[in-house]
Amino acid sequence: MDETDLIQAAKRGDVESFNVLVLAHQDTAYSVAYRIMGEADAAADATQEAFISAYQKLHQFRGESFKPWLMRIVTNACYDELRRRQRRPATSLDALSDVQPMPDLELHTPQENPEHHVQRRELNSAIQDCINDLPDDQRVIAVLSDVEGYAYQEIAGMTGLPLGTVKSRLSRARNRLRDCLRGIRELLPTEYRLMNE
Amino acid sequence: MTVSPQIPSDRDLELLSAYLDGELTDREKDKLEQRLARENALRAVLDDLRETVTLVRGLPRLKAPRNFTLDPAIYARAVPWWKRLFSPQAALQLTGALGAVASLVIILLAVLLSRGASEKSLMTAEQAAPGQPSQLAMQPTATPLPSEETAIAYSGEGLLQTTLAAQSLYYATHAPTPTLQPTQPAAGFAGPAEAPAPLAMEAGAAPSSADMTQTGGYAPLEAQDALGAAAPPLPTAPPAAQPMLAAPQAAAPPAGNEFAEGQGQEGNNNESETQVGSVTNAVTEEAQAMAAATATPAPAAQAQRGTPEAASEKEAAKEEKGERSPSRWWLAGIGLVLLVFSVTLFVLGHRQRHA
Repeated sequence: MDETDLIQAAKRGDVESFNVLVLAHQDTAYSVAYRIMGEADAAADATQEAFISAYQKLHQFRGESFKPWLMRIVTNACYDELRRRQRRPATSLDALSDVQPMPDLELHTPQENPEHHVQRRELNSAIQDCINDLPDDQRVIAVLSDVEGYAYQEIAGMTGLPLGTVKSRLSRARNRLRDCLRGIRELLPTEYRLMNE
Repeated sequence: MTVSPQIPSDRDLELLSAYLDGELTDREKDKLEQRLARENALRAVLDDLRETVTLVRGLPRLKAPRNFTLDPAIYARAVPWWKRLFSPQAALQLTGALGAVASLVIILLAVLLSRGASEKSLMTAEQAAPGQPSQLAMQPTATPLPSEETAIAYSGEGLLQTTLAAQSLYYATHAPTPTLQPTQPAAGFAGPAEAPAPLAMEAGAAPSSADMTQTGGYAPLEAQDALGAAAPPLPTAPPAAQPMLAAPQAAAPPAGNEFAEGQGQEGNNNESETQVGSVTNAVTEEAQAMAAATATPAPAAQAQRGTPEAASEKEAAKEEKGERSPSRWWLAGIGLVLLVFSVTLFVLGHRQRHA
């Protein structure tokens, strides 16, 4: 049963068919949610809300590509979660600690050197910190474009923003990331040298 | 080549960002490339941006920490009720439920009809049974004696004798008669109600209105009073007396006919009593046929005897109903079969929905 059949069955109320779609897209959805939210629990909450919302709004799906439609719902769920947290700021135990834990959920090859794996994790954590420092509107665009690789037009469709707004927000986000990562790039080789020594 | 020391503007950064993504038009792209060839600072910024984008795009795809599948027990309810109603399983279940209700209605209807018919038959039998004082008490407006006299008055000739005979028959049949079966007195009692009319026709003395009036004058005073009270318009039987007339005849009209013959010929109390005994033992199909034949009136008499004839038709209809009443249980049987079928459909639909 292909994706179209699964969607049609889910539209008729077949939850099991929808769950097949969930299993096929949950990694992508959670990854986007995590990059936007910057926190594992919040990303999981947003992902779950997104799939529930997608099932309830499935009758609105008009046959376009399912993944961008789902990513739009995930993005909106992240926006809702961000707004909810801004209204009721709650400090989690993770946020109280100095180091934001990076979940070991990355898909890596088993042949990877453990040292390189650690270095890569630190670099990814630093990049994620830079992303987290972006304003919400720029962060969503940066994640959709540079993490997920969507084109401008697709991002405009997902976020409901004009194409020019997408371009300008992405440009500002990249400029901020460039400034943030410039210092990290200067630090990381030294650490790598120390670790290699 | 000249190196521009200027810091790139927001517009330049936007162009560089779009240039990295291939989102510039050909004209924008040409102009930017010309500037990049001239401006080292702009080219350095472009390199920084490219490295940044490369780092970010190198972020790995994360694996979901758990499954985000939905629980069917909870989210299956999100389907609109009308879609669930028109599912094949729900339609099967609904059909079974409606069929069960319909079959119950059919069974109830059959039971009520059969019970009503049996009660009518019972009432007929009880009304026709003589020697039971309770019957007279139950039918105060249609006592047997005036009814008999009214019917006898239709016959025209020999009215006085038949009236006397009917009275004697009434008293004779109300007396304990060991030889009579419970239904036999009913037949004998029912006889005088209408049987004299056919008998009078056979005798070639079809009565006219004048005859009726005259014969009414010959009737005893109490008979006339009963006639006036129970049946003021002669052609139509009094509503109160009609059930009393019709019911006994429905029980045994042919016996009544034979009794009328004997009554008209004999006109004697003793002979009437004996005739009752003989008549009630002669309830046969042939007598029914004879009753139907003798009930065919002459045109002149037909107008006068409209009431007895209509009553006989009603009796025949009631007789048919009485015969059919036990067979109404076939309707209940059909309802029962339909009920079993409907319940089976309902159970099948229920199982399929919750499978």
